[in-house]
Amino acid sequence: MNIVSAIILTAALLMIIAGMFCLVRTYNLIRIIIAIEIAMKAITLLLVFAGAVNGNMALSQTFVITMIVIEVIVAVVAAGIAISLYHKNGNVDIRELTNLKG
Amino acid sequence: MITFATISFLGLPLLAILLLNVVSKKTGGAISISVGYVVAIIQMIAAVVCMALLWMHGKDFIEFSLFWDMNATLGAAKLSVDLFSLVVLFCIGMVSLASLLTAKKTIGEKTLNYTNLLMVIMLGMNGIAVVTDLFSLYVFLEITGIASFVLIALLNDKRGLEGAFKYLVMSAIASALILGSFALIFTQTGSLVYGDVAKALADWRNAQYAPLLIVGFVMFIAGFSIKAGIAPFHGWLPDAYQSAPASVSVLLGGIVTKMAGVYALIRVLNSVFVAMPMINNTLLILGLISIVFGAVAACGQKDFKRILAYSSISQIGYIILGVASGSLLGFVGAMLHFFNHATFKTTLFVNSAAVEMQTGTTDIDQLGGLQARMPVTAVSSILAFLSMAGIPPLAGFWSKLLIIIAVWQSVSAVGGGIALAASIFTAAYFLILQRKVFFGPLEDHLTEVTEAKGTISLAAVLLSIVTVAFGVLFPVILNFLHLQGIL
Amino acid sequence: MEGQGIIFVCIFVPLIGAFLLPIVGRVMPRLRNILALLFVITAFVTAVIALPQALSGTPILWQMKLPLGFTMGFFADGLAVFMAMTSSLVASIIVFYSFGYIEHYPNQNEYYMMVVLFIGSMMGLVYSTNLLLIYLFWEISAICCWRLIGFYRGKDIVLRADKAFLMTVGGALLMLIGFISVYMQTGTFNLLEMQGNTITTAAMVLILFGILSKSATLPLHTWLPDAGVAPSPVTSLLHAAVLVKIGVYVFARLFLVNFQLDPVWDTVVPVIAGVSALVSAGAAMVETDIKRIIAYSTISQLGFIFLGLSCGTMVGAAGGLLYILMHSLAKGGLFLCAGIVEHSTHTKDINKMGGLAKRLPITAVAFALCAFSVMGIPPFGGFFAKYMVIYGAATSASPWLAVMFIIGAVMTIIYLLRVFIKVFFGELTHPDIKEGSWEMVSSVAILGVLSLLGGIFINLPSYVTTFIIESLLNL
Repeated sequence: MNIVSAIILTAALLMIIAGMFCLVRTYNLIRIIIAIEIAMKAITLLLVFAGAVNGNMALSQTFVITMIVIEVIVAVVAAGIAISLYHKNGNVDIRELTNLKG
Repeated sequence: MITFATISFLGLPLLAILLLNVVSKKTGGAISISVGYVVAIIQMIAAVVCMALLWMHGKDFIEFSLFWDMNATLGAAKLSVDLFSLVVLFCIGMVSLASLLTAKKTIGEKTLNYTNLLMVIMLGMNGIAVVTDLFSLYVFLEITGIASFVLIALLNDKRGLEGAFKYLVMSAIASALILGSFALIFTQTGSLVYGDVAKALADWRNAQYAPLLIVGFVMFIAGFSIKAGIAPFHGWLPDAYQSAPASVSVLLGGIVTKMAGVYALIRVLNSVFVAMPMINNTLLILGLISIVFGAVAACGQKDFKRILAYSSISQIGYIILGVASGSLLGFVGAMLHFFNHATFKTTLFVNSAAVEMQTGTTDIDQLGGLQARMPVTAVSSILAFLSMAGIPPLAGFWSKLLIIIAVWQSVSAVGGGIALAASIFTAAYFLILQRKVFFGPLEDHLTEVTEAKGTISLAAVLLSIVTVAFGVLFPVILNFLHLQGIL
Repeated sequence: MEGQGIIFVCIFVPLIGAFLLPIVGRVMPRLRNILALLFVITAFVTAVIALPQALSGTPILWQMKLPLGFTMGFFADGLAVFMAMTSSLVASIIVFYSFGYIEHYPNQNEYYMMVVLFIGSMMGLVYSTNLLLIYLFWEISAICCWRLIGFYRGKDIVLRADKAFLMTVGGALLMLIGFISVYMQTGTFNLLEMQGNTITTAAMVLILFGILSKSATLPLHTWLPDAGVAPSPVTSLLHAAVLVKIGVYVFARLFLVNFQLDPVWDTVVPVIAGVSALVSAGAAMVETDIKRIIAYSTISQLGFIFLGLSCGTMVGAAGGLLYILMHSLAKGGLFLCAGIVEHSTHTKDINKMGGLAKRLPITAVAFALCAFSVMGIPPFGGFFAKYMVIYGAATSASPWLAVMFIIGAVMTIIYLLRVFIKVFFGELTHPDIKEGSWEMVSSVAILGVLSLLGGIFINLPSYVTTFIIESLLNL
C-alpha cells in the first residue's frame, strides 16, 4: 500500500468518524442532515479511490455522479421533512420528536 | 410474450407515472387508483407467466434488457429474473394491490400523490428484484427508500413526519454503509456485476487489500441489517410502521423493508459472497437474536401496528436464518417464508387499517370484543396470526419447518430448537392482541362500530384465502418443487 | 386398497363439514344443529364399519408419497379405530346435549363449528401415520379448545382460554422439537417407516412434555381445572371425548407401538402418573367448585391410564385402553350432570347446594351411575378397567407402584361420594328448580346406562382391547 492510498483511506475514515460523531452528538435536525452528507462524501472518496486502484475509472466516475444525484434528492427530502417538522413544532430540536414510543 | 412480460416489470410503473401526470390533475386523481390496480394485477400475471415459461423451457433464469442492447461490450447492464425474483415480483404485485384496495377507503384527497409514489416504489422494488449488478442495486434501493420516506410523511402530520425522519436518517446511514462496502469490494474486483465480483472474491484472503475487504463485509452486514430491521439494528422500524398512513403501513410491512433489506441481502449473499462461512454465521446469530428479541418485544406493546412491526422483526429473523443456513433447503424455506410473510403480514396491516378506520384508534387498550362487530377482520386476523405463529395447516408452518430443518441439519440443533421454541412468544402476543381487540367482551363505546365494507374486507378475504390455500395445498407444492428438481 | 373411502369419510366429513355449519346456521339454526350431530355420528358409524377390517390384521392404509421423508397417510389399525369410536360416541351424545344447553347463548354458529372441527381433528389425529400430521391435528384441536373455552367472552374467561392455548401450544412446540430430532435421526416423519427405532432420551423427554401438557398431567395440569369456565358440554368434550385423550393416544401410539424405549421409562412415567394421580386427588378433596372437583378427578384418573399404558405388561396396557373408554363415558356423563346442576341452580359451589335429588331425580341417578364407574365399584365398567390396570402394575417389574394407585382409587371414592352427598342429599336448597331440557336429561341418562352396561357386558370391550394390544405388541 503506497502513501497516497494510505492518506486517502485515512481521510475517508476521518470523515466517516466526523459524520457519525456529529450524528450522535447533535440534537438539531439540520445538523443531522449535514452529518449524513459528510459521511456520504467520505464514501464518494472511497469510490474514487477504488476506481483509481483497480483502473476502472470510467465505471467509478459513473457511479460517483449517479450517487451525487441520489444524495441530493435524499438531502432535499430530508430538508423538506425538517421544514415541515419546524412548522409543526416551532423548532428543529430532535428531543421534541417523542410521539412514537413503545 | 416473454419480452412483454419481463419488460412490464420496469416499463409498466414508468408508463403509469407518465399517464397519471400528462392528464389533468382532476382526471389523474379520478383514475389513479384504477391505474394502480391494473399495474399491480398485470405484474402478478406477468410473474406467473414468466414462472410458467421458466419451467416450460427448463431454464434457471431469463435475461433481458429494457431498451438497450444487452450484449453491448461497454456499459451494458443485464437484467435477469429467476424463480426467487419472480416469487418476489408476484409478492410486490400482491401487496401493492392490497395497499391500493386499502388506500381507496383511507387515503382521502391524496390519491394522486399516493399512486404516483406507489408506482415509484414499485419501480424501485421491481428494479431490486431484476438487477444483476451492485451499482444498479444501489440506485433502485435509493429509489425505493426515497419514495417510502415521502409516503410515510404523506399526510403531513406530526407523527408521520417524525417516523419518516427517523427512517430517513437510519436509511441514509445504511446506504452509506452499503455503498462503503461496495466501494471497498470494488477496490478489489474492478467490476460490479454479481458474477464478476463473485469470481474476483473467490480467493479474497490473498488480495492486496484483504483487511479492507473485511471492513467491507462488516459494513455490508451492518448496512443491510439496518435496512431489513434486524435486531439490534431495528430502532427505526416500529416508528416508521406505526406512524405511516394505513395503506402505506400495508406496503411497508408487507414488502418494502423485505425488498430493500432482506431480498437485496439474500441476492447479494447468494450471488456475490458465495461460500463465505463467516458472513453466514454472523447472519445466523443476528437472525436468532431477531427472532427472539422481536417476539419478546412485541408482547410488551400497546399499539396494534407496533405489535405487527415487532413481529416483522421476528419473522424477518426466520428468513435470514433460512438463508444463513447455507443449504438449498434453507433457501427454499426462506423463499417460501418470504412469500408467506408478505401474505400474512399484509393481511394483518389491512386488518389494522380496518380497525383504525372504523374505531379511530389502534391502541389495543381502547379496543375490545370487536369480533361481534367486525367478523371478517377478526377471522382473517386469526388466520394470519396462526400462520405467523406456525400453526399448521396454515402456510407459515411449512416454511418455518423447512427453515428449521435446514438449520438443524446444516448448522446446529440448538439454533433450530431456539428458533422453534421462540414461536411460543409469537403465540403469546397473538393471544394478547386477540384478547384485547377481538375476542373479549364488547366495550360499551364500540357497540356502534360496523365492519369495514368494500375493498378493505375484499383485500383481507383474498389474502386469507391465499394463506389457507397455500397451507393446505403445501404437499402438492412440495411435490411439484421436487419434480422440478429444486428440492 | 379397499375401504380407504371409509377413513376419508370419517376424517373429512366432520373436518370440512364444520365449515359449512356457520353458513347453514345463518339461514336455519335447526338444520345446523341436526347437521352437526349428523357429522359426528357419521364419524362414529364409519369407525364402527372400519373395526372388523382393523382387527383382521390387514388394516386400511392410504399414503401420499412426498419428498424429504414427508410422506403422509392415514392408517386404521385397531388402536386408531378404537379411539375414534370412543371419541365419536361420547362426542355425539355431547353434541346432542348441547342442543338444550347452548340454545340461549350468542355465537352458536361458532360453537357448533368449533365442536365439530374438534371431533374432526381428533379423527384425523388417530388415523395419522405421520408425525407432522399428528402435530397438525394437535394444533387444530388447541385452536378449537381456545375458542370454546372463551365461549362466554368474559375478561377472565378469555384469559383462561389463553392460558390453556399457551400451555398446550407450548407443550406442542417442545414436542415438535422432539419430532424434528426424531426426523434428523431417521430421515422421515412417517411412523410406519420408523417403527421399532430407539429414540434418544432428549427427544423422548421433549415429546413427553407435549403429551403431558395436552393430557394435563402434573406439572402441566393447571390449565384444565381453569378451563371449567367453559360451557359444560365443552368441558365434557375436553375431559372425556377429545382433548386429554389426544395426549394419551399419542403416548400409546408412539411409545407403546412405535418406538423402543429405555426400560427406565417403564418406571419414570408411572411415577409421574402416580404423583399426578395422588396430588390431584388431594386437590379434588378440598375444592368446592363442582366442575373443578371433576376436573381434578380427570387429572387423577389419567394417571391410571398412563400407568396402565406404561407399566410394561400386556394386561395393564389392555386395562389402560379399556379405561379410556370407560372413563370417557363416565366422565362425560359427570360433566354433563354438573352442567344440568349448574344450569338449574346458577352456582358451581357445592356448599350452596343440597337435596337436589328431589328436584333432579334423573340427573341424580345418572350422576351416581357415572360416579360409581369412575370410583371403580363393581359391576360398573370402571371397576374392571381399574382392576386390570392395577393387576398389570402389580405383576410388572415394580409392583410397589400398584400401592400408590390403590391409595389413589380410595381417594377417588372419597371425593366423589363427598360431591354426590353434598349436592344431591341433605337439606333442599333450591326448591323451585326443575330438570333440564329433555335433550340434556336423556343424554346423561344414556351415558349413565352405558357406564353400567359397559360393566355388565364387560366381555366384549375387554376382548377387543386385549386383542388390539396383543396384535399391536406382536407386530
